Amino acid sequence: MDKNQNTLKTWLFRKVSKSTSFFIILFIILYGVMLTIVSSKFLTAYNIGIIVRQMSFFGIAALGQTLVLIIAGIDLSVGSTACLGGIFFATLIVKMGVNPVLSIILVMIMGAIIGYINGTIITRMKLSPFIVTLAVSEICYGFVLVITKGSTISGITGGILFLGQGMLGVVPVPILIFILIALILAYILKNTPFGRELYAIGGNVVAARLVGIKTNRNTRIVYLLSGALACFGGVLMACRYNSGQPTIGKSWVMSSITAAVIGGTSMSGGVGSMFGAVVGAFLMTVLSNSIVVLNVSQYWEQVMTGSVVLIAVAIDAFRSLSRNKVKISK
Amino acid sequence: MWKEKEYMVLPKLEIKDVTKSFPSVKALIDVNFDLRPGEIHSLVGENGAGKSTLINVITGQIKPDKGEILLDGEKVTIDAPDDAIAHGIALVPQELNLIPELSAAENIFLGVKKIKKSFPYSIDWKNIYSEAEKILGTLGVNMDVKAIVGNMSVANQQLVQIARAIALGAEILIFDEPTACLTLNESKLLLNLIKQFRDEGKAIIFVSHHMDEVMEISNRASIMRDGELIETIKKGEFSLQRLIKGMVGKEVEQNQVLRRETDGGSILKVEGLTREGEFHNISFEVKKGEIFGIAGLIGAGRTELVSSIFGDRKLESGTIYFDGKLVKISTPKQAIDMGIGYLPEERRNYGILPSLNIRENLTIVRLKSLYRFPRIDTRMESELVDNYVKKIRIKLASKEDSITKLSGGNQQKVILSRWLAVGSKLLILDEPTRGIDVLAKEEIHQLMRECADNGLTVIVVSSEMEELINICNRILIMHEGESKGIVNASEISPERILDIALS
Repeated sequence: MDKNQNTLKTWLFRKVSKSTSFFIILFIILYGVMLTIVSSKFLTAYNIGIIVRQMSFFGIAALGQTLVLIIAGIDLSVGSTACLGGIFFATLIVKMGVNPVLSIILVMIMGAIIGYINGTIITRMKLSPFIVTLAVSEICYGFVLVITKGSTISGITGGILFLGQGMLGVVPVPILIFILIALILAYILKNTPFGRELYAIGGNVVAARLVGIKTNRNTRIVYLLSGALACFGGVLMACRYNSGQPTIGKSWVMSSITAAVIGGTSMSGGVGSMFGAVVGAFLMTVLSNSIVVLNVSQYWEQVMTGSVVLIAVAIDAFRSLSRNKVKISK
Repeated sequence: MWKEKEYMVLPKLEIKDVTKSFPSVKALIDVNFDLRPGEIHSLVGENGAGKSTLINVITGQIKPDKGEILLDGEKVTIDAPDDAIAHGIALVPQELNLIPELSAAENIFLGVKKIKKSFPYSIDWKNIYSEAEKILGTLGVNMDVKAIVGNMSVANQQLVQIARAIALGAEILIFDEPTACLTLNESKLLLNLIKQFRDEGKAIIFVSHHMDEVMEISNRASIMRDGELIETIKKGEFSLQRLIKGMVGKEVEQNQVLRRETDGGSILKVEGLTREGEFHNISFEVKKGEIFGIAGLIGAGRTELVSSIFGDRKLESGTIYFDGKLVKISTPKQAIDMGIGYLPEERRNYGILPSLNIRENLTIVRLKSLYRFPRIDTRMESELVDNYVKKIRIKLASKEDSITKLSGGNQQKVILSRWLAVGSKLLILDEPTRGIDVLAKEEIHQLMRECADNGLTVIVVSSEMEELINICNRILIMHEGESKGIVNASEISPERILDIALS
């Protein structure tokens, strides 16, 4: 009630209790300050460049994953789709000599088709997204092995590598692409009927259908976007390493979900943001980078990411609990 | 003298000076309440008056800031629902907390370990089933104890819930709006059962929005308003005016008959609508500006019928004419595009969009008309919402709040506004006032009348015959999927409707 007293405290409290992202940013800043004090290697243009480049690749898949989580789905096929995308891209360019830009378009169409298949099976047969995307994931990875027989397809050359390796001034190109996609999707989520419908579907799909939302069509579009984005991430990764590798991208399933959840996206749908996914991806990359900077054994990375997810989810639960308490009082 | 003594009987449960505050509101303020064995003590009040909070305190779901609870004259602490059960306090909640996938017997003995006394110490199913049958028998219920609860009617599910309370050996039974989802007949049976418990010496707290029920069965009634217990009235001093005045704090006109004649043309005409097992060969015609009621018991197929007209279920046969044209409606979207709006039964499950705020909930149906590439015109949207908040008198702190923060009545108003905002020609309302307090209910009735006066047509499904009689022009009576005829609301009584339904 007293406006002059405790304003900072209440402001902070309101921010933190409203958005997990804000809390995560605070944490990243504090952690960054600590790293800078402890090690001279952290806050260098070179190292920050590495971090933002690294977060962009799986981050793009995390953006798609966030869309899927918002409609209360889950896409376990982003990893294999991305991997297959990278391989397909390398095959088109290296083995078939297709024009690079056309290759990107073809690869993204393939990703869109994979996503569309996911979405169609889920909506038509009313199957659980978990199972459907898991199976599709296996199929995609099977194709990766069929095409590559386990070996790398290398030899991508030319201007297209700029997408993965280039710099605009001091800024790596992948992060620009990543941020651009995030901004576009965030704009769509916030300012278009389609975006709002996604939140409605995630909150309650039956109620959403009863207000005339085409829930099945929207679901298919979301999975389609997720597949296309994953493939695009795979393409950038291939450009980064001049090659399509059968292992790259496989780990993106967990990390894309983790980034989304750290950023405040709810696994039960209806809640989530692109900004959160970007912040989540950033935090995860900073953490894994800090392990290198601090000369800690690589094996600790997963322990840290896992703990951060737990903490983020706990904050989330705490917030919704306090929300519910208010509800009881009314 | 001895009469005096009987009156002084030790209360089973006593609440002394209980206070509970939440961050934004004082939910209970120095509440004193007592409950005697062999008594039905009703709690009445509007939504948000503090009834639920008081019950939550008694059942250990909320810890009070201050005050004490006495059981049989001894001070006890009830920190968790477990404690309440251990003290013989059982709640039959408004939203039943059964496990739908399990059988009646399993639900009744949920949490009670019934294990064979000898090797292999496995679950003693025989005992569970026979005990469950015995308990249901004392309730006068004949039910297959192996039947899956999810397939049962609401009334039977409620009986299972009550049986569970009895199985736990409850001496204090709390009924929170037990008749909200029941038909007239089922309500009568339930009230008789509650009376039976009272005669067996159990102490009963009864919460209801139906004042006639409260006056019928209570020994005493306590009125709550804004977190305070205003007064406790003894049987014999009850009157509708007194109860409502206590709840609202002022005199209210009750059960006004709202009706007027229409001479509009036909807006909706249906012929031979059928979905086997749900409803059969239903035909009726609704005129422009009319309020058309659909009455019947639960299971009559009313919800199935109206949701099929709205395109949420597939019709097996039958034709629909809307505005004079033969139409085929196979999705809600098509119905909405034609100008039909639908307010579903069970507001919390199907009505509100919980992930959107109040503003977004109100504009969701006409969002596309607010879209100016590349974005939704938020100024236009806000103006639209403000307009309806004022016009429909929606009580809210901020339109950016979550819709779940609103009371039931106000949620319902938001959903209604949703359809008014899109300019619907025909509104289908399924149980629009269920679980809503007296005042909000009257307001929603008024609102429906206003809508009809402005040329909107309303179809309303309700289990409350009186509600239909008060607001409708004509009423279709359904029973077990069959049409039993259409009656004029001005010439019918609730009893007559039941007679026709059951004939």
